[in-house]
Amino acid sequence: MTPSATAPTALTRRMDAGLHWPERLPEHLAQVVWRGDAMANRVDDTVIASGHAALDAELPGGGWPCQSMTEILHAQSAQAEWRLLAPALAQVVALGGCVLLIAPPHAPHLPGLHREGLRDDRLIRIEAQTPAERLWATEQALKAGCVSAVLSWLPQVRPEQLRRLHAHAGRHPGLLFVFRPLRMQADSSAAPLRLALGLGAYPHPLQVQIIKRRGPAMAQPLSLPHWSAGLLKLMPAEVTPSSPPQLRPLSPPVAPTPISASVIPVTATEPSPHHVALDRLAARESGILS
Amino acid sequence: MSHWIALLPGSQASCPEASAFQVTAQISIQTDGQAVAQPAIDALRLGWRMLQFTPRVALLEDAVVLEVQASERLFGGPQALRERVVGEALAHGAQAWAHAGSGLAALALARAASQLNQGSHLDGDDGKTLDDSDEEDEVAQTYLAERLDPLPLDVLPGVTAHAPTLARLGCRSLADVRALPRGGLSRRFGAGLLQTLDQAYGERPEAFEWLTLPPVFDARLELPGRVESAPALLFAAKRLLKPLCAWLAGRQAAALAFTLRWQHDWHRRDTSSEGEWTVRLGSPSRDETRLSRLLAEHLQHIQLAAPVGDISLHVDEIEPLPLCSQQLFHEHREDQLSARPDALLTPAAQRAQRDALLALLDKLSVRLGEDRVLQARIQADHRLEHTQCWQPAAQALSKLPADKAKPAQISDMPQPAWVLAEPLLLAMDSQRGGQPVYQGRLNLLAGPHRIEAGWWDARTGHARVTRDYYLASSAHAGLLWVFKVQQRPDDTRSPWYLHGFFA
Repeated sequence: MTPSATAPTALTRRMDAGLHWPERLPEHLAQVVWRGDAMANRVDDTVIASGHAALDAELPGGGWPCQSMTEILHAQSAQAEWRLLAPALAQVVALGGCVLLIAPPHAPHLPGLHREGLRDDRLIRIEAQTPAERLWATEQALKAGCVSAVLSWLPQVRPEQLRRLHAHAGRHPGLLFVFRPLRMQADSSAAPLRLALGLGAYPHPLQVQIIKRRGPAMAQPLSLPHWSAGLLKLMPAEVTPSSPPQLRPLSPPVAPTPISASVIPVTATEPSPHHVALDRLAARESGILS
Repeated sequence: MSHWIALLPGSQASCPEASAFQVTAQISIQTDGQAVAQPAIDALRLGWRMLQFTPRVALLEDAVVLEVQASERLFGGPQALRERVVGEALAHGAQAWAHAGSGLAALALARAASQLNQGSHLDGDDGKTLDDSDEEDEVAQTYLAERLDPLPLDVLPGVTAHAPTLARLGCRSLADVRALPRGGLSRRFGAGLLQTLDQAYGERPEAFEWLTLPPVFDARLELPGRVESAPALLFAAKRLLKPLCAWLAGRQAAALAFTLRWQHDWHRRDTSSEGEWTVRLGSPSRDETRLSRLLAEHLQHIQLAAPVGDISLHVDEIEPLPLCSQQLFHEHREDQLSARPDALLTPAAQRAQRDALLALLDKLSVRLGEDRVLQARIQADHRLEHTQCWQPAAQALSKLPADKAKPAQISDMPQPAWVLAEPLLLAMDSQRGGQPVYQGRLNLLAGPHRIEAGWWDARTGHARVTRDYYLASSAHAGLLWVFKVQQRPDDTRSPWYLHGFFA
């Protein structure tokens, strides 16, 4: 046994004497120190609630982060993007913001999105073709600082290009979502929040796995059974290959109630002028009576 | 006494590139049929810009003097007006300023300030309220004399020419000159000297030739050398944009379209000796940065037929810029443009956002092409491919103010979130009784919904559609919007098409 192994070092001596790191930091320090095993809840970060309560609980800060890049990896495009993002984008649009789509895989169908709260005059679609054009357009949109949400489909992008976008996103006050293929999961990325988005078996809940976040690693993928209410009525409870479902009629109009309760309704239900007049009359009468 | 401000345009020597260019390049602007030479351009530009505050602007030697008393109430008092005038002037190339009770005094004080210290100013009166009553007038005059007396001889135009002689007489300051006997002074130097002194001291009325804006903006710049590529014209064109923006500011207007013209130095016989390019803006603007960025994007597209010798800039369309109410609280610029949800509540913030958005769309449309920056309006039509009409976004946005958009009529049927540009023909699963296949067998959940429309539409040959839409579920692709077309019984092709995704 060497003498050095037995001789207590300065550090162990201090630890023996009970000089540990304090269990709890003072309040002003605790706000600025983020421990890797805790969710980062920085006060100065602006977030926009995602509209999915289960997802909000798992996102640092409790929503989609503004001024930051969020990367969404999916195995197949045009599968679940709007279901995931529409509630948050609807909030942005309701407040007067606009949404920029850069090189989406298909044309968005506006009547469908309108029902989710995304007004047609608030959506702008940019048909950039080459990867360089897509990057350039995304960068310009971020630099302008006037677009509330930028959704960019970047199937071919290098890590350093993503880093550059992320740097620009720091000065962009709104949301930035970058859609990339799932096979890029192992590549390094500058985005502080990365999600893998998939689709489960019937009735096709959203499968969201947070790959990277300012917080502890996520144990299990989330399953978000989010469909618009009108669609849910049409979907039978179970579909098995052996028993094809009974076809439901489409003809009785589906109630145009928009989706879940977390979303701002498309049209605010304003009382008609007649009702207001009647109410006023009633109020006056009751005032006289009392 | 009236309220005068004098501004000295600074040399742009801070940018070595610019000054080197300035030495050789000859800019000329047509005003009332006569060309203005380079040295006066800076003053002229500043003068035009000042016309937005008062119509009484005059060029005095190399400086700009303006009388602003009549505008004081509009801009919220003499102090606020002065701050705005000076702020605007300093931002656009003035290097010294002063204000006083007479134009010549203001000029003398401004020159003295620029001699003492770059960028400083001297007050002719310390924000005193100026009244028309004689007593106040006298007080102001005494005060003005106190400020002017210690100034050297070379600051006052009219005195400068006689400065060497006066210096030999022992005069060091304006007070010394005034102390000389008036009769002798008038005989020795002429009446002009006394008149200038009296005008500066506010004892005699001043008369200026007021500056007027040319009705049409047309500025020409002779390039120092031949320029062979269009993007290289940008630097020269930027120098023309400066007076353009000043001219627009003076007119309280903004440009909607402007034309850059160029003359070829040398050209083949079969080509034209000149060329032009019109830049059209999505929304009126007089922001120099925005105009120059837009022009830069446009210049990328231009191929010059031959080397260019000089360029000129012409404004085609202007629009009066609406006077917007200022924000109650001054916000930081980044916050002003903020797209944060809570930042768009004030009308001013919304306006700023809209302007920035239009500028962005302009830029994107120029680089990518107008038909690739798109926005759609919902149309009342049952055919899925005709429910929305995509059009260039810059046009759509500027045409229709956002709040006037009529509420769209949307059918009550389920609507997919993505729509395919062309319906995709689906393969059939021959084993299981002819079910369509898309990433796994499709289970039809709901339907059919018959769409039979378009027979009136003669634009395309196959506009008429007869389709039964179904809601289908695919194991891997989620919910789909598929349709089946009517076929003759003997047709063996697949009748199934995919048209949209409920993503």
